[in-house]
Amino acid sequence: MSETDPFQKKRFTKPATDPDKCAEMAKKYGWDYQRFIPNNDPVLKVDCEFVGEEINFQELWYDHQD
Amino acid sequence: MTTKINSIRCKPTLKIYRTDGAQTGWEKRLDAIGSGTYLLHEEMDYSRNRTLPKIGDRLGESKRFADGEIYHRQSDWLVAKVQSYPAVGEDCDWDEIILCYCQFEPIESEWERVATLEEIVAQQVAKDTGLEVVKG
Repeated sequence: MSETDPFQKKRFTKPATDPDKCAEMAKKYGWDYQRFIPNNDPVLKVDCEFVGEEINFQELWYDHQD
Repeated sequence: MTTKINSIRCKPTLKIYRTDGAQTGWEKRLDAIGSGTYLLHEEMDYSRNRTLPKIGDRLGESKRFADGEIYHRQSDWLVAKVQSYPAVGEDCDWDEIILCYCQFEPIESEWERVATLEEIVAQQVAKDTGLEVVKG
């Protein structure tokens, strides 16, 4: 990612069960999928790192209320 | 100047960061099967407003610290050349492949903790509503 990006993008992480889920999230929400980093959680085994410009907070909120 | 590619794309852009065999530390750069590799990093960009890496950019690096959190900083790798390979044909998985050739140029860069998505959402909700989101 360019460090002088004009779109005010934010870098953030989100856990997932596997790396392909990271790509699925990136595709669904329109994010730049930067990398995945394994963690010690037995279920959510990776932390996905993204850079996102436009985050639809309402959609995310309802997607993760289960 | 960062280049805006276009606003709507159906397929992702693959960004590949690589180096050459003359750069410091080549002996330790191994791939998953133990062979030497030129590959440094790759990213998959599904964003609507994509930006091309450009000469002079720094490849970012992230890692998990002992506190369990993930931190990010600019790495010692400087983008020295950028090439674009657009997809040919309708059955391609990628819209475009960007090759970034990097040189080893060490810098001092501070590690900064990467926020979780939940933290960003909570900040945005608090900003928009004036209410604090209580985790639980």
